Amino acid sequence: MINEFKLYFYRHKPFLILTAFIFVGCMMQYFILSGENISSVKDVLGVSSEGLIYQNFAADSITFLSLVYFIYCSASSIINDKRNGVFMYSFVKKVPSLKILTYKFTAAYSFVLTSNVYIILFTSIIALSIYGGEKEMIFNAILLLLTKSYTAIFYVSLGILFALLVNNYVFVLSIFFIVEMAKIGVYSVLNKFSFSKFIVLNHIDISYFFDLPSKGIDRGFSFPFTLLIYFVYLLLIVLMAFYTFTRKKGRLI
Amino acid sequence: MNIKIRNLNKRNKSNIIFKNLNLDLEPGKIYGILGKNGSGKTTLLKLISGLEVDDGKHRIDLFPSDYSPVGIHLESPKLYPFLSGRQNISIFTSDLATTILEPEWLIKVFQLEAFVDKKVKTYSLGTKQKVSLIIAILMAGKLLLLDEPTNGLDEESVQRLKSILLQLSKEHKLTILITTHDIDELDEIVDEIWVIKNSILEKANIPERKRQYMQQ
Repeated sequence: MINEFKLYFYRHKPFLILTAFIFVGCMMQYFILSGENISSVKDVLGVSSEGLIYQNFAADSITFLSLVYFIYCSASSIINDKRNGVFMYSFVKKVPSLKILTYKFTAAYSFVLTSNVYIILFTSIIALSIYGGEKEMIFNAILLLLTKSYTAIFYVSLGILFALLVNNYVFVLSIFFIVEMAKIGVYSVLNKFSFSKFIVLNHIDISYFFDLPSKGIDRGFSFPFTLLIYFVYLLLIVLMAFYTFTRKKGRLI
Repeated sequence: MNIKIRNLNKRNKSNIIFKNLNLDLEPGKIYGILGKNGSGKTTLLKLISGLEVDDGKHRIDLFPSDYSPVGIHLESPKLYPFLSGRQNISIFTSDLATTILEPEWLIKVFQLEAFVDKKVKTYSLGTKQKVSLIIAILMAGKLLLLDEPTNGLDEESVQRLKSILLQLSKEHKLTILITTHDIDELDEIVDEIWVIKNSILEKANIPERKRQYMQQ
């Protein structure tokens, strides 16, 4: 598993990319919230701490960028192995398919978590240096890590599944935009139907359940119900990935 | 333990690649498989290693209770281009409890010291080939399958490969199967030559030059 995890760092140079994202996101939010703007935001959100607002908004912008990067990296762990033919070594050693895929998923999740720790830590340090320290920012950082990783894990799982189905990065990356558009569609068109509560797109953002300055939309579901639907879909995605991997085994080398 | 493969059938769409193929392999012997391009040499290695299924959708498992009994090198080296040769060797063999030969010794014998810490994407075909051969040798617990192993290798490297293969077969009783379309480079070390002809394997004469090579 550790080798799979290390490959993310060899393959994608995350510290360089994520630092660039942090720089872009923090700069962007600094200009957006400059002057009187931050006071207006404070009034609208009812939050007194400028640092907290900046930390949250900057993390939002950076994780939006990093989400596409995470999908690319997780898809790459499959597409790259297919293109280089290195699945051959695991197959010849008789490593079970379940173990191979479990390592792939675990490494992807660990990478998301590590990257988000890096993003939120540095965003918080920048927020501290600009607006000064607040105790609440530590708790806010933990909540941000939790909510951002929760959403990212869903996307990278989909990324791995689609990478097993197709060999095309463009198609895999389009997942992000398809899901985002589908979320709007589900919310505006299907939300009047009772079955829409079982659609996972209503449950991939848990920021509403926490006391964050910028939170998602209240869709009227309880937190346990949201978690239940999310994990059922996550399990389905993993099972579909396993089925696809087993079916395509001979064509993966 | 002898390896016996019986009634192996493989077809690709409408073409029959192998029909009732039988193969007996003894430990410590080197076998050469000759065949024209497209005759099914690589497919045979993939079938034996369990990478491909036969017509009955069965996957061959010659050593059911062993982890990594087979080492395989296919025609084009399978490596991560963004890693160094050493990292590739480590990543694909670090899970093995034991290896017959030491990785560092193989790196030295293949004269890879100057390249092994550089990224694979900067390598020539021959250098990639050597790294891939090292991985295959390290992975092989009982059986080593080599598909066109001399591709891209210079004369000196071919000689070094031959001596390693002889060492593996004679000292460590490894069964080695080499496929090639040009046996001249390897006929000195093979114990038996088989030819793929019309979807079946035919045994050819034991090469005379082998004895001469062994006497040197």
